[in-house]
This record gives sequence, structure tokens and C-alpha cells, in this order.
Amino acid sequence: MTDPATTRVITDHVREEADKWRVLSDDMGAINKNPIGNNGLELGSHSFFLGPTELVPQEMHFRAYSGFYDDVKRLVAAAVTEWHQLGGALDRQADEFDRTDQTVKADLDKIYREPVP
Amino acid sequence: MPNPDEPQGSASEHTSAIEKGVEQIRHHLDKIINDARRLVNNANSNWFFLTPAVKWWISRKLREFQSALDRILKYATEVLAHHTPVLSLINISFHWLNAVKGPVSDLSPRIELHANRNLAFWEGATAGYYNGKVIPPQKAAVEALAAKAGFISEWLYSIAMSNVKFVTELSTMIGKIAGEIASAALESETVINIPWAIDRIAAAVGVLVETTINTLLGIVDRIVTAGENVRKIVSDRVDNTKFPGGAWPQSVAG
Repeated sequence: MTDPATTRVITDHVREEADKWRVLSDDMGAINKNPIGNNGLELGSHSFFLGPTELVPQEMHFRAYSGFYDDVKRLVAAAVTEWHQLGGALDRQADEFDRTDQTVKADLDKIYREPVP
Repeated sequence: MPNPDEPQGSASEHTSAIEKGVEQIRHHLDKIINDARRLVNNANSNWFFLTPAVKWWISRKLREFQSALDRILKYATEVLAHHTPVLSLINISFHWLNAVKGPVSDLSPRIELHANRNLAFWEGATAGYYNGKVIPPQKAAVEALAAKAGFISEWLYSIAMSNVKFVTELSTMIGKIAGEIASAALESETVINIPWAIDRIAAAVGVLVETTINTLLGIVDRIVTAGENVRKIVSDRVDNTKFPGGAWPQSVAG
């Protein structure tokens, strides 16, 4: 029986898991590069209606859309960073396991942060 | 699970519907202008033969005809001038679906799946934390992001489809108007028919224009409403609690 405060790991698998997050980060990075972050989804203030301009206050659509797009840009870029960092965190975890002969008293605070509810 | 509101068919199918509508409008406009000129010229060149009462009456009918025609021609010329940016709207509604929602959704199962299934042998507090507190919020955030992309795609698509409908409706009605004017122009070649031709065309164009504009304004209403409702729809459709404080969930210290 293992003490619940200790962790038995196969460090290689933790490193593979770290690589998984880096690959995910790269794949999200590709979406970020095109079409999210390169303004590939940008629309103008006349993109919403092709008829007489006075009939539709397109500024309303334009602002709503641009605000939404900016939010998505921010989230996608943050995901790229977060996942890359998760890869690093798992590597550090694996290092800790190696250093302590694969059994370590968990020091979670050093590696992870409690998610904001 | 394909959503019935998400973009259907291909972007090019819808952009070409707009281009085709615009082409027809352009074509009908040329015809309308030529035939209307012919009609008015025929009336003018036979002016001499007409009695004053008929002259007065024809002038009045011609003014009615022209003002109805001007109302719809304004719509047509605006469409000719402004249709290009809406082609981007169509393309971008498809990009959100195919280049964002699709690829982002594909990431979701990969987040949950361990790179090596033997990672299941990892036990204890660190493993519990990783599986219970790190993976779930990341996965939930990716799914909420995919939902956001899907929502905006549908929103843009519904506006795009209203624009397609606007052009199609306008080009069909302008085609009918052009047909009416062409036959009136033909009738006006015979002097005796001129008053009758002008009476008929003024009435016919008046009715067609009125009907068309009512239909078009109904479509415009839907576009305006889409703009007004967007914030409410976003909050109904997207679970923003997956983004604590509006941000991507952070699991890594430092």
C-alpha cells in the first residue's frame, strides 16, 4: 500500500504526457496563427448588409462581432501558452520524481495552481 | 451532431447566389432604363396628337411610375455598390465552422486521453490533482471555445442568408418590373395604346414596388434583430463559466 501523500509514477509516461500538451499547444497555435490571430476572421462595418445603408445600423453588428472576436483571440492565445506551460509543469513533476527515486511527497503548490472556481 | 442552424452547403454556393442576383439586377436595370426611356419618348413624340386632358393625365401617371421606379432603383443601386463586403461575411461564417469550431472540437478528446495509457498507474495526490483538477477545466474550456465558434458561425450565417434572400427577392422583383416595362414600351409603339400602356405600367409598377419593399423590409428586420440580440444569444448559448473571470483556466503555477 502506498501512502496517499506519496506518488508512484513511471516518469517516462509523465514526460510523454508533457509532450502531449506541447503538441496540443502547437495545434492550438496553428489555429491561432490562421485564421484567429492573423485577423483572418475580421469583418468590416459594412459587411453585414448589402442594401441601403440607412436601413440597418451595422455599427451595432460590427461592434458586437469585433468584441466577440477579440475575446476569442485572447482565449486562444492564452490556451496556447497555458498548454505549453502545462507541458513544462509535467516535466518538472517528472524531474522531481526522478530526483526522489520515483516516490515523492507531493508538493502540488510548486507545480500547479488551484483552479479558480 | 450537426446543428440545423449552422452553415449549410458551401460558401461559394452562397456567394455565387449573391453574385448571380447582382448580375441579374444589373442586367434588368439596363433594360428598365432603356425601356422606360422608350416609353417616355413614345409618349413625348406623340404628345401632339393627345388632347390636353389626356396629356395632363399621362403626365400624372408618368410621375407616379417614375417615383415608384425610383424607390426600387435606389435599392438596386445600393446593392450594386455594397454587395462585396457581404461575400466576406459568408466566407467567414464558414471559416468559424470549418477552421475554428471543427479543429478546436477535435482537441477536446485528446486533452482527456493520456498520452500513454499506463499513466493510469500514476497514483497519489499529484495524479489525483492532475486528473481531477487540471484536465477537466482545460477540456471544459476547449468545449466552450468550440461552442463559441459554432455560435458565431451560425449568427453570421443567419445574417448572410438574410442578405442572400434580400438580393434574390430584389432581383426577382426587378425582373418582373423589367418585364412589365418592356411590354408597356412595346405597346407604346402604337400611338393609340399609349395612354392605356402608361396607365397599366404605373399601376403595375406601383403594386410591385410596394410588395417588394414590404418583403425586403421584413428581411431587413431580421438582420436588425440579429444585431440587437447578439449579446443575449451569446450568454444563452455559451457557458462562460468555463472561462473564470473571462480568461482561459490557469492550472500552472508561476
